[in-house]
Amino acid sequence: MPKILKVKNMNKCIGCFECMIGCASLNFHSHTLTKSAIRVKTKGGLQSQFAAVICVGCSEPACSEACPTQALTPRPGGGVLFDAKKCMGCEKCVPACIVGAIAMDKQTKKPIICKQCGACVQLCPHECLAMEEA
Amino acid sequence: MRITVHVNDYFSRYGVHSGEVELPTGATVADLIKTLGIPPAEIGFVVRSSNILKETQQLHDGDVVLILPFALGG
Amino acid sequence: MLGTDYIRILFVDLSQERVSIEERKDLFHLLGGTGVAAKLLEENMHPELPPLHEEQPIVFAIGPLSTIFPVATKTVATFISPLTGEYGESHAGGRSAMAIRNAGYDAIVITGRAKRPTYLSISDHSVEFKDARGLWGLGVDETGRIIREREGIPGKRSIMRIGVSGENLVSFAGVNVDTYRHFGRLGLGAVFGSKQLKAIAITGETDIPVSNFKEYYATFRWLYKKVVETDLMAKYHEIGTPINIKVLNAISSLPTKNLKQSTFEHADDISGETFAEQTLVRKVSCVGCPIGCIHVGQFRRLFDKGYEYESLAVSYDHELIYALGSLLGTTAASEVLELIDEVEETGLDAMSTGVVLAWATETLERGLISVDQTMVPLEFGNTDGYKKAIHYLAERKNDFYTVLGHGLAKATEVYGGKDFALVYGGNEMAGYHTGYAFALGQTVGARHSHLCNAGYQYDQSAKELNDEEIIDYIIKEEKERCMLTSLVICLFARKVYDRETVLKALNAIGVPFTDADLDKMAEETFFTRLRIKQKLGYSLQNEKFPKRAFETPTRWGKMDEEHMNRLLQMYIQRLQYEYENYSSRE
Repeated sequence: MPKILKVKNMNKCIGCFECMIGCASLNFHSHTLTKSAIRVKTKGGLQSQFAAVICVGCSEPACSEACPTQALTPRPGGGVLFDAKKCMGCEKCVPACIVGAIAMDKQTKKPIICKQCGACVQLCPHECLAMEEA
Repeated sequence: MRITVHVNDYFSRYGVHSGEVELPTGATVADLIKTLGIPPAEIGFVVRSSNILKETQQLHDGDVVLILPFALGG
Repeated sequence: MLGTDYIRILFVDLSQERVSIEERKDLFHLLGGTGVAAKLLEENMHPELPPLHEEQPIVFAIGPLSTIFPVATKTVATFISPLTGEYGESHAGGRSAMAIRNAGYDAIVITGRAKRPTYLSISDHSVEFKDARGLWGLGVDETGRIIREREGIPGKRSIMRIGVSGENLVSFAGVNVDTYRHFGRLGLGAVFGSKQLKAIAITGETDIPVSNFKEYYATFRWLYKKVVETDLMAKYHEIGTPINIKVLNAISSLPTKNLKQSTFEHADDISGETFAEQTLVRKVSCVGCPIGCIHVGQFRRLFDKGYEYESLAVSYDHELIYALGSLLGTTAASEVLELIDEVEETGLDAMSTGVVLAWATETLERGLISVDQTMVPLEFGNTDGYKKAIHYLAERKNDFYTVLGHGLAKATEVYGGKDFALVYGGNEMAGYHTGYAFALGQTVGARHSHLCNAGYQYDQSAKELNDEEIIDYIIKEEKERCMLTSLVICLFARKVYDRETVLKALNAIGVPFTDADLDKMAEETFFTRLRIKQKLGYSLQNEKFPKRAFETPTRWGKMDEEHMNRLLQMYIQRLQYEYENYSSRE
């Protein structure tokens, strides 16, 4: 079964952001940190813990249900597949995702969608993330 | 001969810990390092009674020796 | 800018509340960081005016590798130091380099003086001058919290801020960067304060496409592996630099009680191991570094009867454990953390603060000053006294603390006690009493730091002392660091970024540098800094060493003052020779 991204333990996160740096460059060919499907931030200032906002790989993705053009379709194993050609930039997927995993790319005006590729997992020095079956 | 080594925690990565070591009489500091199995390049200082020992210096029965990495920084 | 052949600079005029942007192709060969920041300081400074004059600039610069390659985390700041009156350079990580990169700039130059307390909000499409009157007087933590709630994209912003010490123009006030990092030394905090600049918040989402994707990504992954899977940086992560306490203590190099001693009977109580075992709760990173060298220690403190506890989390490091620990005779790890916390809140530089208070303690001991002046009994190991003194220092409570706030060199002009004032090159001493190379290194380094040229490394690894070798080492290392801190890497990764690696990384992002190009920019930067120092009236000939340094043994036994002075003269001569060589080639 294809795997999906999971957060294992953010207590160990050191906030290095290599997951974001890797995702942005690999998946979006960008050095712009906001063009990353995974987003790490603090829960409130650097004295607090880090939180990772990720696509949790829903088996019934609300974002694809909200998409009027079927640009987002369910991915086997969880999550969604994104066909940018079909996307008209209506942004309905953004509020549909309850965990807030979808943000719009300011340049392309299309959503930044997690591919469940696992690059972020490989780049975490503390194994805070993992690819696992649902 | 038997000597006591206080090994800095850093060297536990080589499976080396503080304790007692048996060495042949006349063994040198270099022999000690070899016996312990710490890569020589990782050794900063070997200290006996506040003196920094050279590799070629001989150890004696009952010696108490500190094994330290270099102090590091930017 | 990545993917271009120019350096993009944001100019901010606080007096007129105006900004402008320049693209400088002629600076591109200097890469960024130190190379660019030194040059921009030279262009924008006013040697004829005092350091805190409003026309003096603050310069920040990042480099081509910043954020996009592992451990290229730092931002370089250059300024005229109010502590030494000449060249000031300081490095800080946190999120600063990432934020500046994402705001779309390679460098920022700030001049002028705001008409009222202000904080700057810099984004990829705006620069706003915000009313900070309500923040003036607030500590570092609260200032950060308030600005965080108002500015920027969560997780993608950097907030630099000063505490009351910077507002009060204490010459060694620093700038806090993202809670755990600092532009610590030489008084950048006072420069901020003199401009009524309380803080700078930077954020952005500038579109920066990856050029040469295949080569870049492969190089990025390769470098990541080198950093994480080899042992080249392991020590910085595990116990971290606090590993030094036990090491330096064992080799008689741990400055203790104002360097009356170079071993500390309580070294084990404040060793890195003790801190880790008793206090360490987490490690944090600067953005772009998978190592996580920021060690956060936690302690709880009873503030009232009835089990009323407060808890504090404070980042600690070797230099802090030295300056606020062994140097002050502090005997418990939790007390060191308490002192660090006070220093952090007030925005003072921890190292200078420790050295200054250690001197004040001995000066009081010897009767050169009285308790009337120190307001508290300063005694080695008396943490409560030092806690209060830190606040008096930041607030410039009375004449004595006002003078002290000008730095140790100036304090000795008023109160005497020069012989036991731990000052090298006008800057308070760093935590390695290892020998001649450290002493020479901090004195002659362009920014009077042990980080300039790592003399403390030579002192440790040398099998025997050799004057020529010391000079060679110091100069070679300082030149190389001119290049490394232009990329801008964190110096903890200097073993990772050998020449081959640097070139590989630069080439992967389309910067076609060769080894010769790196040599050239390093030399140019090396001499630019010396030229700036000269223009600001600095001369190595005026440098003297503290007598105390010759009274207390180092790893090599007691140093000899004549030998030290000879070494300095040798260095000066060699510098002259190198400069003539360089000039004739240019």
